[in-house]
Amino acid sequence: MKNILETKELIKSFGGVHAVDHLSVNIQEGQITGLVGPNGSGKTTLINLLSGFSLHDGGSVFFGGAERKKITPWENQIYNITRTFQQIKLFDQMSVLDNILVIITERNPFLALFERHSKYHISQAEDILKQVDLFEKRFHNAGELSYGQKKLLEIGRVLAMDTKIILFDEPFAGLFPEIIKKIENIIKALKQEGKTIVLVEHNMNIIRNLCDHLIVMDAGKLLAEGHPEKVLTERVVLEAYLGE
Amino acid sequence: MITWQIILYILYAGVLYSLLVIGFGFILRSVKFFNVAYGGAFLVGGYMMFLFYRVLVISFIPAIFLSLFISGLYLFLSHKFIFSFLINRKANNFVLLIASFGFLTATSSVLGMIFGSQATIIARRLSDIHSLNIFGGTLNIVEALAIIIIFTLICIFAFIYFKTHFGRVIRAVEDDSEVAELVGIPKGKIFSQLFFIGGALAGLGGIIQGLNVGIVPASGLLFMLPVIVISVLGGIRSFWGGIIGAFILAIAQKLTVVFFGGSWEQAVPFVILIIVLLVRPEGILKK
Amino acid sequence: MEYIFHITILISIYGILALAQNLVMGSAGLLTIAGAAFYGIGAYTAAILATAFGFNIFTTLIIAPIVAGLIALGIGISFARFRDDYFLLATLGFLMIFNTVVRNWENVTGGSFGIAGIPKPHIFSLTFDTPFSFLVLALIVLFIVIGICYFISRSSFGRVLNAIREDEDALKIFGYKTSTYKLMVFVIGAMLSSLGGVLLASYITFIDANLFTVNESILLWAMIILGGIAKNRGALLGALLLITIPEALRFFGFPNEIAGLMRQCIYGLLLVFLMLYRPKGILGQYKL
Repeated sequence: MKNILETKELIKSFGGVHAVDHLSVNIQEGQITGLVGPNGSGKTTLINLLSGFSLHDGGSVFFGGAERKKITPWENQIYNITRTFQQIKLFDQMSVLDNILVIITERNPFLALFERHSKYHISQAEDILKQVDLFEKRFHNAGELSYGQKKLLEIGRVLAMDTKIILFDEPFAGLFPEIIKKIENIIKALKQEGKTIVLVEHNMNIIRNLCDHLIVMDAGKLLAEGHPEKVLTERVVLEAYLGE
Repeated sequence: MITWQIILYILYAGVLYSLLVIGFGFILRSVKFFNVAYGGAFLVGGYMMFLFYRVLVISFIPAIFLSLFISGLYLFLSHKFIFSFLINRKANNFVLLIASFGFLTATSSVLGMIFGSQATIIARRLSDIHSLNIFGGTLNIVEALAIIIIFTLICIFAFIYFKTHFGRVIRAVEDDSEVAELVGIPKGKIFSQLFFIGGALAGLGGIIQGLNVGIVPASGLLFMLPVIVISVLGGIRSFWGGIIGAFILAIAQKLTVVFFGGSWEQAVPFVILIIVLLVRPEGILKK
Repeated sequence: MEYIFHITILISIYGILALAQNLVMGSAGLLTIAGAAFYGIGAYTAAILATAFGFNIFTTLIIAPIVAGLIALGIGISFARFRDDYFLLATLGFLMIFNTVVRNWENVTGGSFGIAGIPKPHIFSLTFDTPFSFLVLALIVLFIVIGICYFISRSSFGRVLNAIREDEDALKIFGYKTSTYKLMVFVIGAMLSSLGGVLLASYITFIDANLFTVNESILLWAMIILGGIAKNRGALLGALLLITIPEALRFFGFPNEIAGLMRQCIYGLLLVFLMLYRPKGILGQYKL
């Protein structure tokens, strides 16, 4: 197993408070790594830093062994990484189909100007929508979808990006059991394809069910890591959760 | 003695901008968008003074207070019927800005229809605006009085803002209106009061401008823009930053007039704006 | 009949401007008030080249977009870091500086006297000096601009612009360098606006700085929002309505100055009412 994604002494502070505090973690290729911790422990901040949503203040991030000094979001495709958002961020006033098409069409603006979406693009997008049960809704605006459908569309965009590393930020939060089951299966299938997955989640059953490796954060620091079953019985972890 | 004369002009321009930026600051910090309808209150103040003092021949002091009341009312009502409605609907800043530009355009064209597009001069006789000799420089009586009155107002407002209970309430609302509401501050009422006060301050600016050189419908926007620039320059969250910004702009404008000629004066704020936005978007004084 | 030609020419010119404004503000969601500045740059480029150097207006239809595009490129690069309100303020600053320069640079722009005697376009032995022939020319340019706008809005580029308007931060994560897209659409919008300016200059043969003020940009806002923002058809509909409806004032016999102010007042109030009650406009699909 090799470390596909690694942080060393990573720091991010907001107004003097370290949201991520000298954090060093390894994410291994082809595994599902769970990321848990109490609210405000810096999980989402870490995801934001890894995806270039905000810039880190210190320390370093390595992608496949090479340091990526300034993480600029538009290079995510090159570095083969994508993410979902805990606070859903869809293109609300665009159709569900367009939400997917925009992910699979040309990035270069000059080429994009002369590109029309082809049958190939459409069929690719429709395949993805079928996978997340949104095919019937493809001509609706994304803003009109229900909460669960929006969550699924976020997953759909990730499938469309088709990158090696995927960061899921609470994809299950607030969903009904059948949709949870659906997303669990998608994530398992992604693992089968050899993707590397980071999963922020609160529900320990889901964590046990899916994760190969677990990282526990508290106050921006690494509290414990290891196999989920083992980590979840450690005293410090229990205290961090029960003390909440 | 040219330099002393320039200093006097800078002083006048600086206090006039300070007056406008204090009122604008209250509005900007509470509603968090650049509400250009404020420029409409400037116009309403000036034209109402013309109406009361020169057309209806009411005596000077009551005419001023009536005009201030109406310009305050103008901004208060615009907030009540347009902007607070939009804010409650969680409209984004685009919508608010577009509505405020539309409202200012409508206000200035209505005033233009009533009072004409030419400069409207409030003074009854031009000889009323006589010049004063101040240590070798000259200012007219309006400019001299404006400097004194506005300096007093700056002190009063600074005192209210930083030292009184009402000032603390205002700062709480400006800081985070939702939290302020949770601790029992009537947010809507404070907003209304701030809009009224802001409108009256803008109106006073209009009256001074109308007495000094006259007012045209376009001056609503023309005065609004430097005021926006000043609040960005001084940092939009700071009371004193605004006043420092006002004087910096006044100095830059008057020096431009000296070195390049009067016609370039209007471009100065925008050159400063673009420089400030590029170099230091948070303004001079950080809060 | 000549009157109808006149109105249709104005609609075509404003149709071009509204389409350009819509491309930048509607599709990409960049709140800009500099529309009038690029319109003015087009008009002044045509006027100066035609009166001082004897250029044919047809040639300036090529040169003006290049000039406006280069200026927009410079402005766009320096304004790239501003978003939302601050982008609006910066473009407002640019418009005011443009206006001041035009008023003061007497040797080139004629200062407050403006530039008179701009020739009508001519090609070979054909001169577009009758209202009808000018209308044909204006419509040709309008259709070219419509074609370009539809070409863009139906391309992948157009879809990306919409996504930038919806959520730029999210789009970046998916590997788009959004600043390049915004810069490109800003430049294209400026180039198209300048075409409207060239037509205006050679149609009314006299231009001065008063034609290119904030009020003109407000009118463009009103047009695209009334018609339905982010829709090419909406921009055209807005231009049609806001040119023809105020013409009715003429039949009530108001003096020119009052009619102008009334028109301005209508545009302003219209924006307020649209924001309050129908931010989607007539062809409503998107809202700000």
